[in-house]
Amino acid sequence: MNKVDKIRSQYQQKVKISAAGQHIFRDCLRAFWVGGAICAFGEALNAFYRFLGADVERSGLFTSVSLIFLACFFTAIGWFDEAARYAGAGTLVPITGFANAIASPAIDAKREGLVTGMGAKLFLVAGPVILYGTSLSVLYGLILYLLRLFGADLPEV
Amino acid sequence: MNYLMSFIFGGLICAVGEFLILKTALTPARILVGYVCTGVVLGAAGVYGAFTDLAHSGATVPLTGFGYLLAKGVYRAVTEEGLSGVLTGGLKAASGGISAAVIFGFLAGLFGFGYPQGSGKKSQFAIYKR
Amino acid sequence: MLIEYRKPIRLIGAAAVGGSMELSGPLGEYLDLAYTDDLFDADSWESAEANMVRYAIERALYKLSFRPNDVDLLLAGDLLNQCTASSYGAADFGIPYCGLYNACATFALGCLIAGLAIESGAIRRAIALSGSHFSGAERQYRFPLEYGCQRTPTAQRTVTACGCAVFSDRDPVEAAPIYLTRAMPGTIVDFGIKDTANMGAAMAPAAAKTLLDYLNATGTAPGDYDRILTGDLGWIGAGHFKELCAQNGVVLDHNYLDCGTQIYKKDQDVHSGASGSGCSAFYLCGYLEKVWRKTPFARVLLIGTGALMSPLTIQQKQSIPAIAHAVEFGKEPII
Repeated sequence: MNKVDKIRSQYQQKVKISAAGQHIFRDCLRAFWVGGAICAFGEALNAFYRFLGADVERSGLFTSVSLIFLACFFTAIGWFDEAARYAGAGTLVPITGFANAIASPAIDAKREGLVTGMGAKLFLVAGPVILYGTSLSVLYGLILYLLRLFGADLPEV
Repeated sequence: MNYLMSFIFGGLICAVGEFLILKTALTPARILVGYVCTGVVLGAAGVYGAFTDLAHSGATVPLTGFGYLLAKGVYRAVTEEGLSGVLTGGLKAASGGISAAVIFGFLAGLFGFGYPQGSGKKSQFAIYKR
Repeated sequence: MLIEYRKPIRLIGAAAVGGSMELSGPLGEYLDLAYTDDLFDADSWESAEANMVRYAIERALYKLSFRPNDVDLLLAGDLLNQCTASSYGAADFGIPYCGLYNACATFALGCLIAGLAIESGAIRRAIALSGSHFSGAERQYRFPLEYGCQRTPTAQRTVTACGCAVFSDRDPVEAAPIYLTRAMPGTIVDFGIKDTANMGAAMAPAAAKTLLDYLNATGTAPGDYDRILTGDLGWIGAGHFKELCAQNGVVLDHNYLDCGTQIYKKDQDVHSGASGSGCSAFYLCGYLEKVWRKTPFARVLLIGTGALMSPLTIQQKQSIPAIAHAVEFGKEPII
């Protein structure tokens, strides 16, 4: 390794060390309580829909839809990103993060038109999620199907 | 009790996500993809179903639950209809969530307006000096 | 490559335009025109940035009682793709226009070239201008504005501001003249930093190299300057910069400042400070010019720093090349 490369790698090391997250515990705690609160709120919604007479599957769907609606609504009025700056993964990891990932590019790209702007950019962040989720599920289905052809089976989901 | 379990496990899943963002080079978009894929894999392994019985909404509301939904849909469809279920099962199970996200996202795009982060209300006046 | 300007080229007037965050920052009172609404009478962030450029030129010309045809050359740049903000904003004036791009070092580069153009004798007056808009930059380089994500402590906030400086060698000399005395174009330095959320660290080596070369070429020490300014390294980048300089035997004292650390208060949630091509332009055209007219400085060295990546090169996992141009201002010309 010549001298210049050595200086460079030393510098990269130093930068990496100084850039490492300073508030890991604090940020994880924030993500924990906000994320936990969203999940508990989801549980409350679930109970509410069950109380209204929906079956298990439907109440789960309604819960997701309600959370998605709220996330899109708060994204539209500009509160979601403020909350996310506090909570980080606390709002990102629940289904609210997925909804925000669809709503935020839509709002952002409105000026570029309804088709080439909003329509195309809608899936900017959510597209990969759907792509890899679906691909993996199809792969799983294929393996399951082939195994069953040969008499084997996978555990029930 | 269900609420407490949802809170604790949902919170833990989020805290792990935050830890990954801070400690590794994973961007939020990669976290989303990773969580959904993890959900599919854990669902396929038969682990996640038991976890949902324990954690309730703490397991279904995070994006791993979305992946679990995909796996569950595929399992059911393959059991019921065979080969065609491989393709239809996943998205059929997740269709409600995806459609809702697309529609509400679209509506948000139509009626929402982006405020700059950190700045105040939308008011137009200029301050001239000198 | 040290450039010494032999003509008495002066910064005869300047104007700075900024948004709401900048207005509430420590230098807010030095803005010539501030909007509490970051849209600047426009309906999109890109037009907002163009309007900002337009207002900055208007204010600068108005303050000097100039008409657009009194200026022979407009050197302008910004962060948007293809320099659209500068081009759209400058369209109405009919001033011969050169679009520049050196990321956040654009303003220093503009001053450098304006000096050369006037030195050549072909140009009477030239404008160096550069601006950046938080929302426009965010859309282009990062995520949609409403996307909920956290910033790392090393991230910097793009300044919503535009600075416009008018240079000339012929108008009546004002009370406390600001002469453009020397300049040095930088070389591209790449230390292999790939983290776009840590641009200060990517640009610090370029700034250090330019500063060391500049001190070598002029035979001066940091103590000879009233102020040594770097463009937009931020708190963290400035730390790396000082450390790199110290490793090479140049110790920077309290006369060293980074423009990126001056524009926002620490409690404005901007993490490592300000960045963007409007950063050094705002500091120089807004703050320094006005302060200088009251209490002149003997020598001020501005090192504009720029990170020359694009969103595509970052996605392709390439490292961030950086550049730094040095421009020196003094109270007396070198004849």
